[in-house]
Amino acid sequence: MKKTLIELNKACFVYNQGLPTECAALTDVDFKINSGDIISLIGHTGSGKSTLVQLLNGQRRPSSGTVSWPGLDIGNAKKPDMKKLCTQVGMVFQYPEDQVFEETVYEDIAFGPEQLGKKPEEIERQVLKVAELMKITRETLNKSPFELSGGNLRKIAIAGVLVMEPKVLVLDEPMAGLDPTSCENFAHLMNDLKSNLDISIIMVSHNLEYAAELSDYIYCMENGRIAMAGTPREIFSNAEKLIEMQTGTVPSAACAHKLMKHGFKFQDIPITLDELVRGIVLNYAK
Amino acid sequence: MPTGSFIHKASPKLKIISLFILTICIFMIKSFWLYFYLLGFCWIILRFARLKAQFLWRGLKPLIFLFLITFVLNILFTEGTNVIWQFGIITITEEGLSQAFVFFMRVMLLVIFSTLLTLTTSPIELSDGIEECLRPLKYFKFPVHEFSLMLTIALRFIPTLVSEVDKIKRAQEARGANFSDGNIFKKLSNFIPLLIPLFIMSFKRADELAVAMESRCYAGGAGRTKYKRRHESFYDYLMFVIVLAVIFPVLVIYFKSFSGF
Repeated sequence: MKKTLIELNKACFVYNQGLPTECAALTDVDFKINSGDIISLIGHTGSGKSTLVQLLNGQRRPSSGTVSWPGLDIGNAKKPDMKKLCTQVGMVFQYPEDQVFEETVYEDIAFGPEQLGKKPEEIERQVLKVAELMKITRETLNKSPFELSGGNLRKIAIAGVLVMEPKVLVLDEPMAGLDPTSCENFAHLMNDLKSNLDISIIMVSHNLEYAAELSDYIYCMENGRIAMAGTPREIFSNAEKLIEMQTGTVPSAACAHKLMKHGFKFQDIPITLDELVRGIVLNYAK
Repeated sequence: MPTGSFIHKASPKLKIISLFILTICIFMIKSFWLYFYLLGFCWIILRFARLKAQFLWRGLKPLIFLFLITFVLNILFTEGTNVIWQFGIITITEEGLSQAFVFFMRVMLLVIFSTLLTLTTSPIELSDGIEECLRPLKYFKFPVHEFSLMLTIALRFIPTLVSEVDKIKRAQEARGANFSDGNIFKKLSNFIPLLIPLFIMSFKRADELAVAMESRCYAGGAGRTKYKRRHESFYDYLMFVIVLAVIFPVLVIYFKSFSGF
């Protein structure tokens, strides 16, 4: 039985409330995260994805509606302990490499647990564990973070969040600006995390291919509302709606739709490359 | 705060000059009532600019403490003959009270007028206006264009820096950082995780900006033309004349006080 970790109930968020520049970013959002899920948030630029994820670790409070953390250890449920909450919900912001500041990679990853006042041995254990998980070598740990490439630096920044051993990992556009190889590595990393740690992952993503491949659920946002929610197959079967929302669709589904116009038949709309190939082979086998 | 009123659209150059003249006037006034006269003028500008008084209040709020301290110090330390109230070493005189009031009003009017200018003028217009006002200094080899460019860049990047600080602060807080607890030294060292990324990003941005400007063939101010040229219209001058008319009584009263009345 899956536990609900975070629940949003009719959450609204308004930026600059009361000023002439007031702007509603979220309207009546219902959202739920269960333990062990990988969830992707997709949607057009400005649809409220980033605002939504910032509600999840309590750093922003909803203007109306509620955010609750029933499955997390946050002290008093009415007045959550923000520090505890921040460590339970690990937040990786857009371009997280900007938050790196220490002299060595090791120290930067150790920053979080140090701030929580943990013992040195405990900190070392946690850092080495996370380094192993993310395949960061000993040699890299002693380097200055500013010698590293962008993709590796981002890995360090994510390690700096994971070291807090959160129950939920929130990533805001983790693949923005990465080269294809780094994206591929990142996707592997997400799968590793899911199988090795008891962790739920929420990703804001523009990369629909990876969203389809990795996620259990996809939430599709439009104008501050959740316009569609479901499994990747449910979402990407509805090509018209996706095009209408300007999010586009996965290449495999787009390709399948075109092939269908030429008489191909697919049992289910393929959402990954493998499924597409299998579908085409089946068509020829008939 | 853009509301599209005619005060927003007025020439920034003349607005800056008006502010300059008004500032001088504020220091000429000695009488009680004239301050209220200028305060009324502020209110009229505020109305015409279609702004809410709370925006002004937001500019004044951080200075309230300073105002109160100068007010109290002036009352306590101005020597005078007409004693109103005495208790131990504390003596309040009529001169002290009026002195305190004059200072209070002067500083407040200054802040209000300059807030009105920044509320009704965009940063770009403002630095354009300053460049125009400083143009005569060119003859003394003062780098007017470079100065105004510096000002524009500085103003332009304030919001960027603010949003960056906000972002990095959130990111570090999410890693357990704490920016409020501890004594002063602890607090200062708490800011290191905030300041180092901020510096790195600023240097990176400065570098990018320089490259971007160079790749668009920016080569300093000499012979540079403007994309948007602003010519003062009849209404701009009319407004300037109205401002002069409003402060005319102040000048009259000031100079009369010298001629033996």
